[in-house]
Amino acid sequence: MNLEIDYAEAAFRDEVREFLAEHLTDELREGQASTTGMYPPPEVSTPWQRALQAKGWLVPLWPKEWGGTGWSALQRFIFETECALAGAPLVHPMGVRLVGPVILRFGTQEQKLRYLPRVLSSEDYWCQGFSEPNAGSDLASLSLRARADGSDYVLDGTKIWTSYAHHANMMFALVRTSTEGKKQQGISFLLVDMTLPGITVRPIATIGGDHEVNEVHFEGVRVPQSERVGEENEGWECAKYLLEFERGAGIFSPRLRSQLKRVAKAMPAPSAASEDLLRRFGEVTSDVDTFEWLELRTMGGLAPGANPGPVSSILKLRASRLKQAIGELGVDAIGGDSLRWRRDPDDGRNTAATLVSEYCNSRAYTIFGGAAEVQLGLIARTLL
Amino acid sequence: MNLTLTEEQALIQASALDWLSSNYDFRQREAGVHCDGGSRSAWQGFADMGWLGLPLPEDVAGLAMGPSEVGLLMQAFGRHLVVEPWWASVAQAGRLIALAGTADQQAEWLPPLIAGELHLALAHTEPGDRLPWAMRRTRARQTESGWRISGEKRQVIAAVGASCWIVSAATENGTQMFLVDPNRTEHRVDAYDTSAGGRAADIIFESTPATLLGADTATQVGVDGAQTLLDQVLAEGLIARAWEATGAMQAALEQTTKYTQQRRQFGQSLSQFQVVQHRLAEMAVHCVEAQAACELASMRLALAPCDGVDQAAYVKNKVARAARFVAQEAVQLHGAMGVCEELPIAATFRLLLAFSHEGGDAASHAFHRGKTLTGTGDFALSQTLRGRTAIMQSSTR
Repeated sequence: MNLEIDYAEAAFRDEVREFLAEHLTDELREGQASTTGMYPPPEVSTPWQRALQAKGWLVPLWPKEWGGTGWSALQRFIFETECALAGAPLVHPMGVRLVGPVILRFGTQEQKLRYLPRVLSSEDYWCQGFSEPNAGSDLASLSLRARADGSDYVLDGTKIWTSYAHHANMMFALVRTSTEGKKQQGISFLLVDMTLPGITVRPIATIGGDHEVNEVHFEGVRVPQSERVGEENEGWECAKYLLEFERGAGIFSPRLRSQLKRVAKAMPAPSAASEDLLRRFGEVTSDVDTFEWLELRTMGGLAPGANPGPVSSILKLRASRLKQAIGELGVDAIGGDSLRWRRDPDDGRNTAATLVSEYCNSRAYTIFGGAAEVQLGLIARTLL
Repeated sequence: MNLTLTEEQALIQASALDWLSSNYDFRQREAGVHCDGGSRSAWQGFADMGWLGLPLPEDVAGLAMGPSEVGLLMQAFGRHLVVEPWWASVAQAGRLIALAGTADQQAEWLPPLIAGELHLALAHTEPGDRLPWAMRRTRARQTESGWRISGEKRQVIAAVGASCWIVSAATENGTQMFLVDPNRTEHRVDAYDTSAGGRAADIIFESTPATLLGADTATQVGVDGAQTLLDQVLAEGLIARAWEATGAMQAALEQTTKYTQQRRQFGQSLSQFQVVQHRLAEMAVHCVEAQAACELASMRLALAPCDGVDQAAYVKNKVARAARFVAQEAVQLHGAMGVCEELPIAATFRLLLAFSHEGGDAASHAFHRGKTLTGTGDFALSQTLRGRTAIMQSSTR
């Protein structure tokens, strides 16, 4: 084990830094810095994605013939770290990291040719239709009905907590095509044009004041069956693949460090800060350092698309709790100024208000994507 | 960059666990508990395994291994709650003689140490220390008959029975280290059993004769040099102790998991209760993090020995927080068996207690780190992709 950077690794890092120096504008950086939700809005992420695509770096994990980079896991870690520490906008993952790999794995040639170029060009903006009012952590109990009718499916039901659905023109959705057998068996994976008649998107106001999530209602929405990925009633396989791929794809440590940098700006000078605040800053920094190495050690040995296995539950749990610990430190650093609430979510340049929203929003991180309690159960299963 | 153990590291780990499993179970350990120097035969076994020279130079027949290799051995010691003074003798006093001692001093003390003929101790901690880095209040002055040391030292591990003590003290020209003969009569020793199962002493020096460690001029390591080397070895020691604690925590997790599977109450094994499962999972997460922290600190230290103080502050605050949690949960989940001496859990709890305060507690190290990093801004940098140059630059800034 050692952390020596060799010549090739250093050269790659320098190439990434050069790219960032040239293409990461102050405007994009500010757009990301004032983002208190999970991902920046399309006006921030889309120009950045186009710059990455022009360089050929948008989809590192895809096969080379579809635009992938062929990077090693370490190269991707270096790339993600340099981007996040430089303050680059986060890529919107729904097309690039979620539906893209599913189409590559399970899609028809027509689907690939139709959708993948539009992911690469950022022409489509995707959202994920998974959760429903009665299917949260227990996703397989979803009930949005897709009834076959001629060459179409007719969709009726509701998706909820759909992030950025109000920006999206496409949704990938899990729908119920059968109620026979085990609940996992009657699910299909469908690509849905959000402009179709019968779809209504309603915003859900959330704790941090951002408009991120939505309720999406389907009433008699006709979707051609040719938009189904994989076989009918076998969509659960696609969903599992997607979740596993995502587990091996996300690199969170540099984002956490980037969050820590924002909090540090709000800290009083070391001479004026309370001992308690400095101690906690030391603790949280040490937690981030530890997480960074844990993530590198875990991800650094993985092939693209491979799943790190049960340790991903530990990573998920720690990343989400760290997000919260840094957020908490942020509001405690500004103390009484945490009274200040944003008039609207675009008031992002106000540091205090941004930290307050970020702290509030951070509470969702141990809830979505497999709640902390679910992760603890999975970790225990590996012990027992 | 290499993300996995080298062949050599894997071998050290496997052979240490193998030897200790055969020769050092919880009953066999009893032979050395609360004995000065521990068990003689265990110590000879350590010598035969080559462990007494692991981090010492090759020219005195040591193996010249670095912080990660020391860590793997200490982790195995932690798993078995080893009470023999390897850490005090080899990782602290031995390393200081190797780094700062003259060729004659090395030749006098290191070969017999490596052969298992003696043990050594380091007297550094003083009353009121929150962290080990501050200038010492123990004073050394030069007289016509040589150096004399006066002052108070605390928690000197394995002091009684040691053939030589290394003592840190302030001189007119800054910190220096000295060799002191424990058999002198000019000091008072208050020796006691430790909560970790070993022996320690508080020592009051009263004009005790001493020999400077290193050449008797400022030329060899220089005045700043002695402080730098002392800080480096203290940092190595804190990181090594963190590995030991991590080994103890991991063993406690395994024992606790097993116990909850075997123990049945209310018609089912304890491990079938979700609340118990979640507590085990939380323990496991702390163990995984502690292991990662030890690895990172050791690798960073190997890249840049001068960065030791920050690495020690890092690893100590991280691992000591985890250790407190795991120790308490291990006892709780063992129920009444956790508070009796029948099982190793109670001894593990006490080892982790001893760890938590030795060389500065978690809060003091975290405060030190928070204060330093908010000043330097180094928290903003990746800690794994910095390489050698970047660390050296930042720590000499």
